[in-house]
Order: sequence, then C-alpha cells, then structure tokens
Amino acid sequence: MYNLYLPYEVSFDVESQTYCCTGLDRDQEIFGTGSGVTLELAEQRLREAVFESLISDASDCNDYTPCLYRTPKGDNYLMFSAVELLPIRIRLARAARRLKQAEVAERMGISQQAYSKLERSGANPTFALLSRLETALQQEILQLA
Amino acid sequence: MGSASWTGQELRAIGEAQGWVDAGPGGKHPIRMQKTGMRTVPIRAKIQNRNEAQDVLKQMKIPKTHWPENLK
Repeated sequence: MYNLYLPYEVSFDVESQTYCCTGLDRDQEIFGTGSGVTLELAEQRLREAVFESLISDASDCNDYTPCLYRTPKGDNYLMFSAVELLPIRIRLARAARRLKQAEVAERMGISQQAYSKLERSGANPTFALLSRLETALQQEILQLA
Repeated sequence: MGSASWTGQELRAIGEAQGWVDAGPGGKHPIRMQKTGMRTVPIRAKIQNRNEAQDVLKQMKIPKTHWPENLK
C-alpha cells in the first residue's frame, strides 16, 4: 500500500478574487485544475477533478496513477492515500477482467448498489469485504493499492 | 463569451470541435471530455476564473488559435 502525490501551482485571479490550483504530472503536463474563493476550496476541487479523471479512465482499463509521484514533490502537493485510491484500483481490476459491477456483486454475495459504493470516492470497505472482493476478482487488490 | 466568465458548456463546445466527446456527468462534474489516448478531462458547470478555463483547454491540447480571444 502506498500513497501518491500530485504537485500543483497556485495562482490568484484578481478580477474574480479566486484561487486556481493547477496539478502537474511527472511530465510537467497539466493534470487537473480546481478553483475557488479560498485556497482550500480550490485544492478540494483539484482533488475531485483528478479523482474523477482517474476513475473515469479506469473504466477503460487505462491506469494513469503512474502519472503521479510516489514521494512528495515541491512545496504544494496533494496526497492521495492508498485508501483514497482503492476505488480506482478496484475498478481497474474489474475492468481488466471485463466484468460488470453486477457480476462481481453476485460473486461477492452483495447487491449491485452495495458494490457500486466500492468504486466511488470515499469508499472505506472493511477487510472482510475486501477479502471477498479479492476472491471474486481473483486478484490481490490490497497488494496493488 | 463574456469578458471574465466562462461556462463548462462553452469549453465543451471547443473540445468537441477538436474531436473530444462528452461522456456525461461523473462525480461533481457535469461534463467529462474524453478522447482516445488522452486522460479524461472533467469540467465543472461554472468556470471560476481565467486560469481554470486555460487549464482545461491546455489539458485537451486545444491549439491557442482555437481559444476564445478573451482567453489568449
């Protein structure tokens, strides 16, 4: 299990009186942007944008987590904890096996609605549930995370 | 576009003209622009400032010649 980090640049727009956080990947390409009237809000929106990008691309088996850093970089950076990244790891594993959510849910013995929560931001599954998921997908999710 | 106000819909239209497709809402983003070989670019309904608008266009690799005049 490991965390990932995304450095970002901060700018302040005088006209709108808002902050903008611009995420930068390992190639110094822009990865996500977020703005708000406070720096904290701008950071939060950057975090939401990066997560949404990663989880969307995971549906197509595209793993862009290697675009983030394994260690903190610069003075300003977002940390994505291993737990935060779990939904992305889970979706990548399911997509790689070309399984639908309902199929995995059935293998786990839970409802599709309950399963879908595992692939959403903020998911915090128990060890027991993760164990059933690993059995259903025949993959060690925790090791990947 | 107004002098200092942009919407996600306006940026979506620019992206679509360059081959991007809106995959629909996801999370807190009503628009998710996708193109083969590129990372998904989520766009909020209301763009807060010039930098955010420029960041979205840069992520979609939109040439500056296709940017609105008030963003160049």
